[in-house]
Amino acid sequence: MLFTSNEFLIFFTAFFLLYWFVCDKNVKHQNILVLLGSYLFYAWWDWRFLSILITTSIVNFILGIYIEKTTVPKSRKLLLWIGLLQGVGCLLLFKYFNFFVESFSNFFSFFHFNIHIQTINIIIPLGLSYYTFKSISYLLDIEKGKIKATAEWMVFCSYIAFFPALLAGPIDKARTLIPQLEQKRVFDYNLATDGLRQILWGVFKKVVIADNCASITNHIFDNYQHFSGSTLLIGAFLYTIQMYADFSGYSDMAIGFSRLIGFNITRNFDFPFFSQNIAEFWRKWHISLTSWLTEYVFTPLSIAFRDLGKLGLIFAIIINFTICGIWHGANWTYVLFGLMHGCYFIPLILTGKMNKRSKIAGNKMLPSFSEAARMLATFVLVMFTFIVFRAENITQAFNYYQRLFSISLISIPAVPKGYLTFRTLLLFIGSMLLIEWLNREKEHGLQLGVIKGRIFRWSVYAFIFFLIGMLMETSETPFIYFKF
Amino acid sequence: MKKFLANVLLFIPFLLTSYFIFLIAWGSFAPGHLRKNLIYGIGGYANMYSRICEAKKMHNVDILFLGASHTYRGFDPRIFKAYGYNTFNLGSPNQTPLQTEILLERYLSNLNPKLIIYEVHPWPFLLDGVESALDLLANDKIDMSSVKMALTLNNVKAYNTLIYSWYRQLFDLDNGFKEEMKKEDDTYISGGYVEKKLSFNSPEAEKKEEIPVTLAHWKPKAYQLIAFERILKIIKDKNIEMVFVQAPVTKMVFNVFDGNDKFDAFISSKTDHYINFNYLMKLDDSLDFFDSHHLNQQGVRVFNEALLKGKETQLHNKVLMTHASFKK
Repeated sequence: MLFTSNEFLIFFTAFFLLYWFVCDKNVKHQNILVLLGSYLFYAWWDWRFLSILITTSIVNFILGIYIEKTTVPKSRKLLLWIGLLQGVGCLLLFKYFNFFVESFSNFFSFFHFNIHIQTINIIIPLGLSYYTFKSISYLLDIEKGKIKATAEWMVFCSYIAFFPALLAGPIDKARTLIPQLEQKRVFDYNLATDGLRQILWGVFKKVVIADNCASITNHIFDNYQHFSGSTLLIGAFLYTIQMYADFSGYSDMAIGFSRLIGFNITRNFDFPFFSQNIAEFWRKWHISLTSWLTEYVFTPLSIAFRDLGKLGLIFAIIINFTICGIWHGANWTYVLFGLMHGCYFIPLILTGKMNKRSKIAGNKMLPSFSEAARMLATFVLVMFTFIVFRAENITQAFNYYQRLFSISLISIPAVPKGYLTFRTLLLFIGSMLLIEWLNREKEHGLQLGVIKGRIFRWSVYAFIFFLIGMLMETSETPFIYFKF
Repeated sequence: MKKFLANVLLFIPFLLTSYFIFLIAWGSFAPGHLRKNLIYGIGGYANMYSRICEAKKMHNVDILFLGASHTYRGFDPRIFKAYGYNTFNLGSPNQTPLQTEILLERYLSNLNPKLIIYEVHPWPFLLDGVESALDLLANDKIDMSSVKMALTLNNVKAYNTLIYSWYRQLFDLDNGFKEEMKKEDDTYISGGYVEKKLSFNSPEAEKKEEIPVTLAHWKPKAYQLIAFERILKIIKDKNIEMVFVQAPVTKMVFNVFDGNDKFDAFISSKTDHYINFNYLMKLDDSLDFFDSHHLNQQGVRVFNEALLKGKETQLHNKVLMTHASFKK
């Protein structure tokens, strides 16, 4: 049940009507519906994995209560570790077992020791990384005394399984979502209409930009040996745009659907391509994951390494981004992706600019030349890391780089024709970036406050609907971040 | 909440009206590369427009051919004419049972054939039928069966093309359209056939083409099976004799598909008159085909004569040559 599918449209319409017209009397009824709806939504993908989701919820709910009740620090730590082991254990088993076994075996075979360990044929449950991180942050926050454990099992289970954010985030922390689940939601007209706008913008980015980019990038990346360096550069550019449009499009939809049912969940993207350095980029890209890692990995590590000064910060950031990379999947390409981003931070740490924040272009329409140059440089740095991210393995990534930086980089690119031509696609990518630039101070690209007349505003929405109908890919294409 | 629902309910008709206006304007003025989901190919590459125009005028034929490209490229009315049979070929590119059913509903009465030869191949049962639907929507009238077909396909291309074709027909905008009878190497022959300029298949080059893996396990689409059953019923109700044939393809393609037995069993369960010519004819993969799927004119002649003379099989001999109402 993709957000862009007919099944979801029917499911959500029924859910919306039941939620506001039948279950609106009290918070309990609302939460029952949220929980049942979330389980139905999840079971639609594969009902067999529902048991893992429910078990995770129950185990962490009980552990949360006991961690709070226990006053003995050692016991609190022990309970916390049980929770961490459960979460990380599930991730290790389902997501990383084969990767570690194969890497271990390859490592020893390098020294001519042949170790054969059986890998397991296992499917990764959808959304596992997302709901595991939610449950871990919940226990950590209770143990640190930042939040109180909820006594309502239904609230906690709804927090873990909250369907708009269940499969690909945003990864809401308990202190953001649980208080909202504990209070009765009252319909907010402005929140709901803005939610609809955000959904529309998300769908546009996903089906018009991302899916059409995919038709070209898949061809280029799958046959990179046959293309010139200049074409590979375009492939990398389009894949970077595809990643953004796909994932931010999904996040916009998730936030929009949450708003329609009265929730304000964590923002996941803040126009990251308008960043002037890599630190700013990560404050604007996959915000919920970055802030999760900052709070639970980077900050504790930088405190632990504080005696090492800037070197300690470098260690902390490298470890942080290695975890960020491997969170995406069990492949050395993701590890390298994380390491590359970690390394990008080193100049910022050494020059003390890591936490420097600036407002791009101020109130002006256009950025200054230096701002534009910094934005472009940041984009190019990010783009090069997405080559590794997209590659099947490290060898393929290096071969791609080798071909990209060959003499054929100075040649006329021969971009394969996708469903749309490259020029047409550029037109729409440019339009998307322009609209987002104009709305860069807002929550999403389609907050059309400047258009006052309703007819004009509605005409803009109708035109976006039309573009979706005219340019969308007709077969269902899953979101990239579902596999993580 | 009331305000929200009222606005949503107001926005829906506004959206539908705007969508229609944008679609008409886009279809009329936007360049082709921006019309990804509006495929209005009047004429098309297989002369559907001319075929439909002819079908409207033809009456009481001896044989009607139905099916996909193996049909309109595989049964030459001139060869049948030479044997004294008046035929019409209603085949079209990637025609699936969904479109065959509509064509039968529209033209069976006036064509009024004595015999129907339906070329069946596993492939059309696996297709969604969108390509053929767009061809039909652009080249034939828009009526309730067109709407039903679009709803069955539930595909945005089908919806867009349906609306745009309806608009063009409403204002008779294609009045005066004259289709080219010769398009590149293809020549449309009166009676629905498309003749390819004689060329030969290069099996080596064909090997590079990817054989659709979906053919390896034949799982037909449910709505295509339902449409197929309805076709059988329409023909049975009209009491018209029907023969199912599978036209020959290259051995390379035929042998790749490991569901032949399953497909043959499926068709045989529906009729006693089914001939799979891939088992009966010994054609040359290169000399008798212009690509891995389609016979060239030389191959068509051999195939059609085999069908007409009936030397190889008692089955089609029986059906074609002894059917009392058919024999002239």
